Amino acid sequence: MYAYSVFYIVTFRTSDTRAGLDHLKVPLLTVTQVAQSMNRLLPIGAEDGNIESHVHSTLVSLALSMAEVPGTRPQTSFSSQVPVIAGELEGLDFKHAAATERVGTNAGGRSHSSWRISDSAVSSPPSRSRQVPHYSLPAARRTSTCSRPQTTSSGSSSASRTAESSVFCPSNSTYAMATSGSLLGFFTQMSNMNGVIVKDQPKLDLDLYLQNYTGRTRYDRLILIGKCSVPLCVDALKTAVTEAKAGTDVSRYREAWDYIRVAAPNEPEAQRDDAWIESAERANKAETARLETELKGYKNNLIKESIRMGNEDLGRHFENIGFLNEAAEAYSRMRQDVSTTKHIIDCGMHLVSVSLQRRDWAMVLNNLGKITGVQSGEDDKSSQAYTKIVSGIALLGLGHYQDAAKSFLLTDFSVPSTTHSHIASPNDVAIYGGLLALATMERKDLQTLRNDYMLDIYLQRHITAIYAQIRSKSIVQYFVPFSCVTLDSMNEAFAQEGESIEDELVAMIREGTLKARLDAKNKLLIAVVPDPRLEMQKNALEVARQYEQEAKERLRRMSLMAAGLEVAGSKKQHGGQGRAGIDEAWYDDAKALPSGVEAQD
Amino acid sequence: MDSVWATLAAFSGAPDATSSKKQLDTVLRDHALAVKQLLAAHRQVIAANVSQILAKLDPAENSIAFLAILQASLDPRHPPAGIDRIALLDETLRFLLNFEPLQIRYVGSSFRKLLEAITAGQVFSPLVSIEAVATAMLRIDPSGSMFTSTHLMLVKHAYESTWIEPALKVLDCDITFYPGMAGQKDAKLLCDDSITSASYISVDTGLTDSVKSASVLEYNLLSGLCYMTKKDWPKAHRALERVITHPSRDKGVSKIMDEAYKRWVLVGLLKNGKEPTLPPYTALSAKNTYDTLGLPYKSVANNFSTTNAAQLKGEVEGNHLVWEDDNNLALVAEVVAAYQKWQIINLRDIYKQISISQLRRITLSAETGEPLKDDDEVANLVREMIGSNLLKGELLQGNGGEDSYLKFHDESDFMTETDFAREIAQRHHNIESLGKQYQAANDRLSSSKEYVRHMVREQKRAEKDGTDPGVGFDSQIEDEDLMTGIMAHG
Repeated sequence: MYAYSVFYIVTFRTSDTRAGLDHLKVPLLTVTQVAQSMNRLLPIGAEDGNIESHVHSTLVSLALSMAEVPGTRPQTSFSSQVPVIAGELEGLDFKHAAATERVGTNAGGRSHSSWRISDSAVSSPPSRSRQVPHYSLPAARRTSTCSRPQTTSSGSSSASRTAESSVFCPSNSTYAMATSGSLLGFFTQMSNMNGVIVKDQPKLDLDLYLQNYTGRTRYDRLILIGKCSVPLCVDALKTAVTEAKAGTDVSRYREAWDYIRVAAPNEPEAQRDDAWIESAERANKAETARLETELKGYKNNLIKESIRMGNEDLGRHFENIGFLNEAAEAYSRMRQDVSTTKHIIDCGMHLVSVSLQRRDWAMVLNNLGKITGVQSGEDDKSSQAYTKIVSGIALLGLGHYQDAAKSFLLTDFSVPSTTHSHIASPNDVAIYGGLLALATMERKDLQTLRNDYMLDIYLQRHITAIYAQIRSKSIVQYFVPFSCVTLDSMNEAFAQEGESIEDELVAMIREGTLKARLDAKNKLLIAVVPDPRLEMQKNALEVARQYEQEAKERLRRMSLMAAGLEVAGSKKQHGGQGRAGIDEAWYDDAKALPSGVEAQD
Repeated sequence: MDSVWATLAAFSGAPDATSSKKQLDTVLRDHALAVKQLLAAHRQVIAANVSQILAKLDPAENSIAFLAILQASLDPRHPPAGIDRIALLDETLRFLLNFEPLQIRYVGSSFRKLLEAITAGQVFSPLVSIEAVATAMLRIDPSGSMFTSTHLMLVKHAYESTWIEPALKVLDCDITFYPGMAGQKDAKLLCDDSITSASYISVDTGLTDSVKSASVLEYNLLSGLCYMTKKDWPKAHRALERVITHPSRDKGVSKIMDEAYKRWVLVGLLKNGKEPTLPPYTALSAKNTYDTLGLPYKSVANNFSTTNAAQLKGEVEGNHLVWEDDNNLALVAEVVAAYQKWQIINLRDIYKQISISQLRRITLSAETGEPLKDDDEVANLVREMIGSNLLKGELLQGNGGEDSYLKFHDESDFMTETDFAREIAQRHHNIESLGKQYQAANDRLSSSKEYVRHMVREQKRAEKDGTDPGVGFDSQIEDEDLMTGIMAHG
């Protein structure tokens, strides 16, 4: 009920002030839709205590959707649209709302995923943040930056007062509804950022899934699931917060908290743990300083191995606290002091790992090339899986699907998965490889790889059948658009030189995989086009016939039982007439029966 | 003599002579009794004058009297003096073709004995007797839906004499009622022509003797065999199916059922070209028996639908003794011969047109396990199949010394809307009349002693149990998930 009035207020205000403006249709629609969906979420007859949280969550989501209206309308029109929302947002937990800006994305900034607060952004034009849509800010913040200057404009002061009066105070009874509301808001925001949203329940179990991985990839995977999967969102984000706090990377914690704050404001994880941040930051700084001093000492002593190790330690530390650029720098300084091949490989692997986290695919491949260049003998085996998987992922990232597929397929599975569990699980590799192969593999590739597959313990027995299925699938696909194809053209496409595909087609039609008939005289393959009328007639008559027959049969059986004429087992032999056992001599009994009674008895 | 004649002709068959059915019933009963007593008292007189008496009597009007005299005269041990055998047989035939069914209901026992004597071959040659009995049976029960002891005798006689054609009109009827059904006996008047055959054909009226389950099984098995000699596979299959699905009590399985099953499998192959599936209402114990005892037959059936002719051949030859023991050699040979035909028929799902040489190459004969010798043989086979309506298609002569081609036609013809409507109306009518039979069966069963007893017992139990402690639980909790506990609604 209350939701209706919210809906009413919003539409009333917006339509009133913006009547007749064509370009406002879009936001109006969005508002309406969101309000309606909110309305659906609200159970009928909610208690009064719920109302405020409804209002809040509704308004948040409305605000979010309003903020994302595309186009370059002058900001003044915004002011009249969302004063209530702006005030509402300000009055709540956006006290510190300041524009944030992505710092150093591609140019090799400090980290790839941290948001830095920049006070100067308040004065920057709001449209700026829209120019980088992929890395854009959480929309709620932008809204506040947009609307803050306008709260003072005429006509909206009363509205902001209204908003101030409605204080957001979650209580236990409103918990569930507030959660769904905030989730909706969160995903509206995500979709507005062009994020992928997976609404259906995925088959994976979050805990089990996570067990496959170690290292920093765990957090990345959790955040991705949290951002994209509606059913798993809250769980994934909560785990992500825990995961981040288990490490030392403060920027990751901030990011995770930033998401969960919007998605599930009532979870305990949504409370920012400032003490932890402070202590972690302090510890990180101290560690950095310590390692840098140590390194300086090594440098003074001019011991090459110590310098190399010092750089490695420093790089590792930077990587752990999320300073990926610094980590890359430190790792690459290791290169100057290498003395064995092992060192070169170690250095390369560190750089690959950092580049991978920065999603800098070219650098990944570059560094991999350096590793494979020096690989020899025994190392080859242990790092083979690693290099293949990483290069596969990098190629996938670059969109070179075919090369990626090959790379995945060449992965040596005898290597324990722990050697690459910080990148991908064996399951992932199989799926990546399989999917990409499906998409890209050509006949020739399949043919060349056939021998390899024939040597696989599980595949060996099935490879012929699998290849045959792939082939028949292609034949069926080939035939789909035609009602009639000459056998010659089929031969050209599928048969080997000088052979005919006819027998194969016969087998396929027999199995029912191909719905067609052969015309051996005219050398044609003709599609079967069922006549629906004929089918209907046939079915109708068949159903009637069957019904009649079954009804008769049932009646017959009923009568048989009513007359006690079932075949009886030897267990319970009735002496009465008409009950025959299995051993009965049945050939001559018809005549031996006693004569009947005369009618007049 | 005059007094004899007075009794015999006392009843004239005109139904409007008596005002009500009740009265007619009394008259007929009295008449039948009088005739019986008369024959016992004046046997000699009648025997001496059989010829004149029968000539004067009209079987359509004085059926009871006519039958009584016939029965007395037909005993070959005491031939009557007043008539020669041939004339008597002519009179018998006249009677069978013209008797009045309503009257015969009152002398069912005599009538049945007459039919039994005929089917036993004591009176006519099979040529005449089967036709005469079948016609008479359908005159008594035009629907043919009631089983009688005569049915079994007729089919036995027909099968043994291989004179099957005339019996088919009886065999074709769907039998849905059996003598001795619970609640069959009711107070209806025998002369009421609106009552169903189940009401007047019973052991009490004498129109049938009591039957055993074996009689029913044997009747169906023999009808199956009759159809098989006519190579009418679908009907044979149905008849055999009735045997193998016969209701069973206490895990009873008859040897007849097993025998029928073996034939049912083979006939199924001939009918559809593939192994038949048992109907779902087959008794479980029967199913298990078939699985064990019918193994060789099943493996033939399995091989029949494959292209592996050599294996089928091996299977058939390896089990020669089994076929011989089961007396199924001819049927198995028929199946083997049909193998290639079905291979050709099945090609209609693959080819629109196929050359004869190709046909020769891809279909093998199960008799030899190899292809036929030359194209002409294949062409002949195809021609024969088209001729016997087994295959829908035509043989196209190749132009200029080329191969001949077999062109498959569509399986089913397009019906016009009127034809279709007529067909559907016919089906509708059939089903409606079945509905009436169901109604009758329902009435009969619900008034039977067993049902009433059951109802009383149920009622008593309901009273004793009182209210169910679980009542109300289900209506309050719609869906309880044991894993999560009871969900709150609303």
